[in-house]
Amino acid sequence: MSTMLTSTPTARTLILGVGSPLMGDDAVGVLVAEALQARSDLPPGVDVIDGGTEGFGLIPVIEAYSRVIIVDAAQVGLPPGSIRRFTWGDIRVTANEHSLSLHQGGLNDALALAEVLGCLPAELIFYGVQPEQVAWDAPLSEAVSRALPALIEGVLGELNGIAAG
Amino acid sequence: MPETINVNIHHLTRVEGHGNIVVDVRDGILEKCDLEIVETPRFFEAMLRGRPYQQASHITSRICGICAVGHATASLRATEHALGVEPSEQTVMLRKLAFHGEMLDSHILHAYMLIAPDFLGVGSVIPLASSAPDVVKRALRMKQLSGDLCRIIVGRHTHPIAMTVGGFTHFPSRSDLEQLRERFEAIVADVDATVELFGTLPWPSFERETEFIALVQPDEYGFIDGRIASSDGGTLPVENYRQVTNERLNPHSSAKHCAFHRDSYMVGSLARYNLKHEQLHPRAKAAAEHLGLSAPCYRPYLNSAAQVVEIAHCVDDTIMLLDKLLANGVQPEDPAPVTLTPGARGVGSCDVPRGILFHEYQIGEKGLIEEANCIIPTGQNLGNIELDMRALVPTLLEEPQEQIAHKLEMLVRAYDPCISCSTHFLNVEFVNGAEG
Repeated sequence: MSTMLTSTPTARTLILGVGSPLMGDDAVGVLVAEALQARSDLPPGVDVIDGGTEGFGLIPVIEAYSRVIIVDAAQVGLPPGSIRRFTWGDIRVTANEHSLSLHQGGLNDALALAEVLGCLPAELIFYGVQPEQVAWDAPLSEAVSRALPALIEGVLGELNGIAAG
Repeated sequence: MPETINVNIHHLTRVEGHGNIVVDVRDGILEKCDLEIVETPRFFEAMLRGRPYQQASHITSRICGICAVGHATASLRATEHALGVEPSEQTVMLRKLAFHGEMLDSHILHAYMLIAPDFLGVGSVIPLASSAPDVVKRALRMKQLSGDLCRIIVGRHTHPIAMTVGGFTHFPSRSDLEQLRERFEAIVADVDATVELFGTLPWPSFERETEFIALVQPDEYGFIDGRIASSDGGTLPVENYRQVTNERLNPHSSAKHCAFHRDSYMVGSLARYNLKHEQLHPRAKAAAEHLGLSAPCYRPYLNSAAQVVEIAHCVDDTIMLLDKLLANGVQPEDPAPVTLTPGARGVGSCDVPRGILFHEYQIGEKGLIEEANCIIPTGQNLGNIELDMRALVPTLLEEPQEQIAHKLEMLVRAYDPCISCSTHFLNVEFVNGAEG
């Protein structure tokens, strides 16, 4: 496809955990990525990446996949620890034009730019977890900690769905 | 001349973190011209105390999503100096490669995503992607290769995991290096197009003579280790960094200011260019000429041009390092051994994308960090940015207030400040009907 930057998307699936492990509940995406990377029973054709606090740098990463599952702390307006699955079509993500930086809203900006460039994967699924506390050196809250097993199961369920066709 | 000008930019855009610009001109006299840093202090130094030295580079690499390799490397050098560790030649070369990956990544982002929109008359990179998609795609293509270089050498795109005290825990294969070599050779055309594009930009002519500080090495335009050099003369060992930085508190800013020979100094690409341009690779020297850079250059807006010059340099240096590693062959090797001595101190310094960075640790006999001090480049530049603003504003008084504000914002952005490295919430607005 001519809109792609550098690569042709493959039929592979990417699980992308994003966030900072030093920022309390913002660690949740990274923790899921680490837990899944440690497993040996993932279906073939699945890659797991800890995206850290990268912003625009995620565009060339996600465009190489036909299906991307992003796990992140997200303000979904539910009690702390609540998990919300949604897809690209469910949401409106706009670039923070007035506070555009590489980190502040980095994922929003990256996805908005990828859309303008026509580089979004065909299928984009989000697992958003409502954080309780996001602050430097804060521990993971109990609410988010309790949500982790269900979150990991949810993401694995998506993969098994692929395996089952 | 307007009697009263009041510029109040609350939350500067396209820089890292939160900063305000406040300018007050009353009766034609500049009363106030401050760059306020309102970011909450982040207490990394306190966070490191009591942690095992092996964790320091991993924690500090998370200080920044952009300068992760730079912080990790400065941290490793500080730890290694404290523990009497001498890394092997192979380790030094692999670290340089990872550093180039990050330098390229950061400079490409800054020049293309944060600076180019100012000159091309668009508010941000998003409209630029509509009006000039090929430009943005070129930036992302180059960025991907820089990220892949980091991933192959240090284990992932950002926040390196394979760099450790005294060496590496993972080694690239020969075919990894060969593929990188091929891709870097191919990206040279994008480097040339980058120099071409930035050569067309109308850089503002504003200049103010200042002191420049950078790390220098006798035999290369390097970024890791060396001595601290000043354009006002002389060099110092990195252990004496406090004599240079002289940090002091400021009433209007949560970040400290620094000063050496004068009231302020500048660090970053322009400082490096001014102090060691003769050591650049030929393609980078040609780029400097094309961009109208010649040393000494006192035009702060041209810091972004110096970044483009360093893009050309780092690409050529990467190819050179890959050739050396391919000729030598990369051998898996154990990290160099450490010696724990009670109260051992060490300083590590690197010239990261935004300028010289210092980490200093004191490590106890059980290997726990007792004290840490980190001085980042943006903190060192803040005083200089303010003095630039104070020199610039009186030359702009005839211009509309909006234009004054824009030129001040562009000036701050030219320094590529990284006020904070923060989390990134996914702020989600649900489309009607998708709730619940």
